[in-house]
Amino acid sequence: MKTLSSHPEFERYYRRMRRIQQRESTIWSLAILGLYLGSTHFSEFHLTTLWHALPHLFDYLFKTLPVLHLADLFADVHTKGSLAYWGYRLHIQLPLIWETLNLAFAATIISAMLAILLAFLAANNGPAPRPLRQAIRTVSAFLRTMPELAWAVMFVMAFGVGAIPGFLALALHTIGSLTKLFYEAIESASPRPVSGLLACGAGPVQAVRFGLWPQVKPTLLSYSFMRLEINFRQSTILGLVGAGGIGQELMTNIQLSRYDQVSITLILIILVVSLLDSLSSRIRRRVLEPTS
Amino acid sequence: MTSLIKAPTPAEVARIERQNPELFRAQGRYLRRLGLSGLAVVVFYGLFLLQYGISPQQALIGLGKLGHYFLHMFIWRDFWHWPFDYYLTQIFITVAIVFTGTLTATLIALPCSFLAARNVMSSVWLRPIGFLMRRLFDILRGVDMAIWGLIFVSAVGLGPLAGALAILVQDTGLLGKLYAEGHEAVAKEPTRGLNAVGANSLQKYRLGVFTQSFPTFLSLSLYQLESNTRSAAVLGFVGAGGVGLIYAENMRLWHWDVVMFITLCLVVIVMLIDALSAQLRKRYILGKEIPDFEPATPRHPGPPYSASTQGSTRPR
Repeated sequence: MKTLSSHPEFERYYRRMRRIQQRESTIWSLAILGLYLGSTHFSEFHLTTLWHALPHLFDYLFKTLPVLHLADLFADVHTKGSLAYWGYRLHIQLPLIWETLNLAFAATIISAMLAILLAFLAANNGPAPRPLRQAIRTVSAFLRTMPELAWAVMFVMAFGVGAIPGFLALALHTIGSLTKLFYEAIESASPRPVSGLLACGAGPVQAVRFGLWPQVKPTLLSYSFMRLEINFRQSTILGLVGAGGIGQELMTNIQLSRYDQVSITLILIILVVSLLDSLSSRIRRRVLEPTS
Repeated sequence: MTSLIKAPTPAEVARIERQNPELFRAQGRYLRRLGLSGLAVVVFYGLFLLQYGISPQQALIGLGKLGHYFLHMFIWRDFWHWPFDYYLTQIFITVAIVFTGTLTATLIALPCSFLAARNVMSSVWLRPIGFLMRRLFDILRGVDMAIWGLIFVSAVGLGPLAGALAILVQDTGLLGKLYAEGHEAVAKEPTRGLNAVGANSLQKYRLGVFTQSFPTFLSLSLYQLESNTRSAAVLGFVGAGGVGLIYAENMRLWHWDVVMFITLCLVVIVMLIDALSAQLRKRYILGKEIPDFEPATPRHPGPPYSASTQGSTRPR
């Protein structure tokens, strides 16, 4: 601090800057604290309620643990305490997981393709006229803000219980969110290749194909894989309203208090999610940083 | 617009192809790969529809019904007699749930993320803790918010508390993982420097790591606030409070106009939060210039005492 005191002018400057920073951080902290306290009040998130709720929660989690006896761990289905007894509904659950996975893939692929098309039409540096761009942006905002369960309820009412309503609901929601991510990526691309191609006499389609597409392709693919993970996670809840997948099974288990089945269903879901996660993060890394 | 460069004639194209066979072969390979993946996609959808598809008759009836629903979305009957205060209260509660859940998750995930970051938990004894922490995050994050909502509803009862807890649990997993990745991406030099001047571990992580990962931390939290506002609507479907309840009620009653109205309200709310977070982002991630120190009387020609040029976005 010796150097500071020997430069009184600098010290004054330093103090002033410090004061400004401290004032701003105090204001922001107080604002956020106020917001936080207000929102905890309205969401009934009080420490006392939590204190009373926590034992119930731990009770619940404890109850979902299966009863396993080390001695009959590998015994047959009818022995209580064996792994097979715990998984007695696996023959129902595994096809449902497969259905969920299929739903996620089907919804992601088709909506990624449609979203690419829409995003080029919605991007400000794209070839489309202004009213069309605005219209696509508005529709995509609507599609992604309507919750996917609301879409699912609507399609279940129209088409009946099954996987197709779930697929449609997920696809519509995904089109909405991917279109936004995609057109933002396209807008951040460099305009130079496009103007170069236009100067050589390329049409608008050719300019997009050879000017914009090569720039944004890795980002778009990476977003699509990310969305695949999210879609699998979301397709696990479509079953809550009868739109296919593992969600139906999970909800029945929770409502009928089949505690050991709740845990096995959750474990299945978590397993598939983490598998899909690591797979897609590996693919994304390869797409974004081609090593060959 | 007339082009400056003439398009090549077919003969010229053939000549170019003879001269650069490699390029044209690459194009052919690319097209073939594209065709094959297209075929794979078509086969996949064929199988998908074969297994889970519905009859054309059913599809036609369904489409008719859908048209009916959409039509009703745009005809708002009896608009002035809707219970607006009920709707607005529920929307308000949703926002409150989102703020509570996300901010509490931020508070919990921040210390946990240090326990999960590979460069913080680098010694042999601490590595297993980091590994366990990351797996815990995977579990919390792998289950969807609505499912956590279901579980919390059966554990603590119906109401917004279950919703806030559901957001809290899922976001702790998500944010913890992303924060940890942010901590892992920082430059090592500041930590080494602090080590050299004798800082203890806490000071090292606070000043050497968190100073650098703060922008990531803030932008992720803000993004999550926005994204949760969208997804929190599903919580009401499972009885965990908020606007999803209105959706569920009105869909069962075929009040599609109310559904449309609520969705539009949510679009506006999300846009507002978007604008707020854009402000905060501009202020704290891009940062405000701190004016450099300029001595009024340049009497000391020694080393220039400019304000920290690196730390102009210094978080506090």
